Amino acid sequence: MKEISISTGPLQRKYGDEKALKIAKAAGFDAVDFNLEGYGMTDDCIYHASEDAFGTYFTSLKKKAEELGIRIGQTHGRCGTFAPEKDRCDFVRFVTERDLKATMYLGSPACVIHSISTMSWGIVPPEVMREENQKMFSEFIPLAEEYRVKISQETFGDAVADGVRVLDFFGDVHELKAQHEQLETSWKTLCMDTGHVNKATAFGIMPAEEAIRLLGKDITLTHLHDNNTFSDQHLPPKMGGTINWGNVFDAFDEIGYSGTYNFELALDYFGDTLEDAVIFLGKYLRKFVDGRGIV
Amino acid sequence: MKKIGLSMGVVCRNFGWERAMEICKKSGFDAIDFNLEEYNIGDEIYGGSEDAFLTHFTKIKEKAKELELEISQTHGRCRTYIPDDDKNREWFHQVAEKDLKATAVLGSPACVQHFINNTRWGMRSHEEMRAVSNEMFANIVPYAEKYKVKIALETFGAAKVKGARTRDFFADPYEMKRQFDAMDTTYKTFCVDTGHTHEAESFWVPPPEEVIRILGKDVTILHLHDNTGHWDDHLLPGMGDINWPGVFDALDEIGYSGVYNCELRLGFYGDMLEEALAFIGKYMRKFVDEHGKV
Repeated sequence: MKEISISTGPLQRKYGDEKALKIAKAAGFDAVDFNLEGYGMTDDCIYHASEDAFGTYFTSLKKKAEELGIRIGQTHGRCGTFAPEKDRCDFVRFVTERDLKATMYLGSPACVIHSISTMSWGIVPPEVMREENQKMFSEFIPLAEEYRVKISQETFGDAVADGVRVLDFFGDVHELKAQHEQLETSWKTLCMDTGHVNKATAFGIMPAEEAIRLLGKDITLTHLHDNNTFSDQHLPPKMGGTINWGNVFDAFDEIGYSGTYNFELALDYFGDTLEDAVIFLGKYLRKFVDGRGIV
Repeated sequence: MKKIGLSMGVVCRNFGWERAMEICKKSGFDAIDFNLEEYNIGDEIYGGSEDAFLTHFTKIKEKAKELELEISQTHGRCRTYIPDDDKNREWFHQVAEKDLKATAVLGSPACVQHFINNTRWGMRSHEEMRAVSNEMFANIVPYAEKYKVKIALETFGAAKVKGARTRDFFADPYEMKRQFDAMDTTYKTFCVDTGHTHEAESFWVPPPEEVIRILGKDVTILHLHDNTGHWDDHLLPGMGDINWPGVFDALDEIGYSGVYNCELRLGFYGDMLEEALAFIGKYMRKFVDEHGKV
């Protein structure tokens, strides 16, 4: 049976880390994508504590997950990565080291780190985007190797540059593939974000199923969600989105994908009904995955 | 406490009307929007005997009464007049009469009938759109008066004309008002469809909260749903970017005392529909009680 997973960011924000794991388990998920982006933003958080405290915190979370019988299948590091501003890069360097180490303590095999984005860089020559992205990930590779966790770029979609909606540079799946291939390490993988690719189709980029085939077996992580191609709605599949999920499942089978089917959904709007929503979604998504896109 | 309602077309299709009503009740809804579009001239109810017609809708009404479920509104035709087709007009008059009669038997106060739309009519002159719409509604007003139920004019959104997305003529609330005022009857009301209006915002139609204020106290029924302004997604309120607290404020300001009825896309839940509705009922109760937040 395929394993289902949920990105727990909204649950962590509302209920804290431990309860987020408990709810995910109670909802029937086999694994979680644990969000690390909430850490590092303030001086008093665990990312700024002693090494001991840092290690203890994430090791105890790992134990909690083990007790519950839920895997931490992937983590989510930074969405906002290197930008032309030096301060921002320094911050990203600091938190990414922590993200990768936390991923190790959590016993998770990989951490998603976004490629640099047109959103931050504006429209610059392709060479600049390629070089800056390589430069950034080259800085992270030694950390990934030291902590023995994979760094994962994810497929991108569109961006807004100078007020105009454009294709994000790495929304071009060929560019992402080339970047991935140039990273000189085996501690790397790719995360297929179906919703982002679906948005990029508005700019002539291939649909999600073709992107999966192009990136092939390097995909070991997923951010599954749906949208109407206009906004990054992070909808549960089929609830108003346009992705052809039957084709997506076929493509995953073709590349021999054996990872979890992880759903990265916008859940904050459920407010105080979030726990109920996740319990329902656990059932819905199990049926959806078992039914290969049919409920 | 505000009442919550559900447009239950998909629920009826999946479970049949009786079970559909039980599920709505169990899910915590106080009211339903009963879909009449499933019926058509020639079927055994709309095309059958007077007795069969009355028996069928009376049964539904009695079931609702037994469940203490209000049938707060019905949904008539989305497909109304189409150009250059006299047979269609004749069909619409017949079916709209049945819709209004069924609404009366169901004990419901109002039945939604869509405006003519640009997707079917293309880009016509304003005068022509107004004239055709006036004629269409004038032809069915006598039925509304005969059966003492209101015809509800629903706010519109975007249309597709020759492959291009454009504003539907009757998305303009002032055009709606003009049509409303032209109807020589008291058996008329407005249905604010929040999703349609939000979809029309990219064509400079005011947001739903403003449209509610423009249409004012004649708004007595609702189709609440959400989207991101691009498509008529019929999402759960809160899943798109409608300013919901603003909508609730506006409804309060006009003294709205009707049901907070949501018209959601439900087909994709498949076998999970009953469980989905149990959650949606809870969610909508909280959403409405908390004035557009949860």
